[in-house]
Amino acid sequence: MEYLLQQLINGLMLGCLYALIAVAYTMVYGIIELINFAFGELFMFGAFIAIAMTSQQITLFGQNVSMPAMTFFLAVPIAMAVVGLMGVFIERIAYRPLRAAPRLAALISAIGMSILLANLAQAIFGSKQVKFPDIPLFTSADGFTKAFTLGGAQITYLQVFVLCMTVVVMIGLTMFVKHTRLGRAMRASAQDKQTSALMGVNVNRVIALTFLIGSAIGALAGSLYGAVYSFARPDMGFIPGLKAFIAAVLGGIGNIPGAFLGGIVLGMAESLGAAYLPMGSQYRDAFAFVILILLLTFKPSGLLGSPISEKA
Amino acid sequence: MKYGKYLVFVLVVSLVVMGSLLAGCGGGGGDETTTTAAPSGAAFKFGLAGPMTGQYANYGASHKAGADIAVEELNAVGGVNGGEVSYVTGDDLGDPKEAVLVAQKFIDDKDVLFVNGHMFSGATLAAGPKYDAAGLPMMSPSATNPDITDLGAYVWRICMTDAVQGEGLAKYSVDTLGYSKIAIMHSDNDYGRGLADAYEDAVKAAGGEIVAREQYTDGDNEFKAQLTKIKQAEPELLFLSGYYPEGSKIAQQAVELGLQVQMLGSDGFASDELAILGGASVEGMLVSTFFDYSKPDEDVQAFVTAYKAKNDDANPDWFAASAYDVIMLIASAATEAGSNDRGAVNEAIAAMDGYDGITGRIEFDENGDVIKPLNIVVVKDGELSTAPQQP
Repeated sequence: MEYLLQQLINGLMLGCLYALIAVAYTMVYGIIELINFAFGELFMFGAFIAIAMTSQQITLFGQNVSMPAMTFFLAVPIAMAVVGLMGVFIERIAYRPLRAAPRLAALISAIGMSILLANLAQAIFGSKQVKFPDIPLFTSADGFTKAFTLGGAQITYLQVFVLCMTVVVMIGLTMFVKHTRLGRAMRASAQDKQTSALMGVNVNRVIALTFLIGSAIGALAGSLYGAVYSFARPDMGFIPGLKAFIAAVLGGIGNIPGAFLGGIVLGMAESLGAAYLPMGSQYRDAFAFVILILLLTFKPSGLLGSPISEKA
Repeated sequence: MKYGKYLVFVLVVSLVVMGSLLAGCGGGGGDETTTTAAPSGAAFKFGLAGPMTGQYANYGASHKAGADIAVEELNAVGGVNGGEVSYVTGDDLGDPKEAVLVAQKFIDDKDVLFVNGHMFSGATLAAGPKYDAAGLPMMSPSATNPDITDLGAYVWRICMTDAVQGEGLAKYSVDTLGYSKIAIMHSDNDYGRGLADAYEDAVKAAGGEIVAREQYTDGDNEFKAQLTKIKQAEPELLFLSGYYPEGSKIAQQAVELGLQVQMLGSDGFASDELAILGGASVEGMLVSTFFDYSKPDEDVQAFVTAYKAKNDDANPDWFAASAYDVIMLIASAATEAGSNDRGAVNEAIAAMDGYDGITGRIEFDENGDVIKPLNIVVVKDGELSTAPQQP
């Protein structure tokens, strides 16, 4: 029982991280229908910027540089702002010029952007794994992660914080998209860019804003992921980016609560699969893909998605 | 299902991207020659083979840093047999295909007396037969695959095989430390699995019990599902077979799950980075290594001092120490032979009784495999120091 509870909590917490990334992913996908391959790299930059801001000293281009060592709770908004602007910039130079081009061109441009950013990060931060500085609020005096016991299962305070952030972001974004003017403009642009423009919506600005918010949340997810696993590395964004994509598809792409649900389902499946299936830990990455294939076969619109009508 | 096809396409593309990211990094190898002053005798020039660029470049950097110290020391005492000591590098990127090209380059360069490398088992398996056919001695500092020394009389190494290490660690766990309930967590690559297999067999043979065995993939960050399983089995010792980037996270997550158990890491954990990345959670972890930089021996400390002076005060890892030992061992063989000649040097290596290096006493069996003691270090205050109980 204790074992099951611990595995459920492991799955829930892993799922929260996937969900947070998936929420940002699905928002951007929902509006431009482009797999933003550079998303995993923006996620990685978020983690690196948070590390740089919270460290005393960091190695940039092979040189030791003194850093402000600010608190995590200030470093994360900075990382979100910087990465948000990066996202807008990427959209401007790599995606907007190709908006009228076939989908494949934009996809290739996205892959190119992803490789460029990964190599840029390697040049700036080096290829070694970097440690995420301990966050005083979540770390005990002797350097261990603070945790408490619930019904025999161990939970860290940092995990609780991640859970709260994920729920807040999910609810906040849903409200924003559903109930604000800008949110309505987003939904309109997602449905039909031309007609929205005719109705006076500045589509370019709406898309730029979507990238700003999506990338900023990506950076938030990256810094939390880095903090939970206590590291950053230039290639850290690839697998989480892929898992987030799967989570987003699971939930119904473009659907924000769906992405959240997809993330949780994915985290649970990986954790429980590794826990209960024979040789489960060997195949844990495969569970995500198996679930994806099953879902695409039986319910291609996703758990919470509405049936898809191909747009003109 | 237009939509579904699109997703499949995206997945295929992402796999291609993943592949190219893994294989791509680092293009052509920039090869360089160091110091060539007028020699009084035949030059003592060797090839230094390893991944100098690309994703494994950090291993090549250690290899080269260790070799530089040996070259400097030997030249300070007048070279070997009156010949100036120098080397050319060959960048194999850790890739078997590149390793064959590097081997050909060294074989064609008639001034190259021996090769210090290759570092990885795959590269060594590919290049070894070429060296053997050409009669150019090669000595790997770090290739642990059991098949390597079957490649021929000119192929040597100074590290023990995974099988020997696994057996040694099993005896250490059961006989020296006295643990009987042991759990294993290993990386699913050839190294991690091979070592775990050897360890498991030897633990059982020594009367211990394997209560859990779990695995993970290199690059994973989440280990809690496996660790929760291990916790349930209540082991006294957790043996970790893999590399430190994952190891530091495993230790951290074990603490977060309240799994309090003595851990023993394989030689892939033997790096100061383990302590930097793992912080408080790796304190007290035992680690197997081929080089213990905290040993008080005079020659070990001389090497550590020389290395620190040249490398930003960093402690040398076992790759650097092994690169140093390869050169010193062959220099002593060449001195014994009295000539800087490929064939004569190879015979002198085969005739050696043993060599006291900084990585311990090295003896070759009839096959060219090495017999050598195992060192155990413990993580203490962010450094690796000699463990109180040695095998």
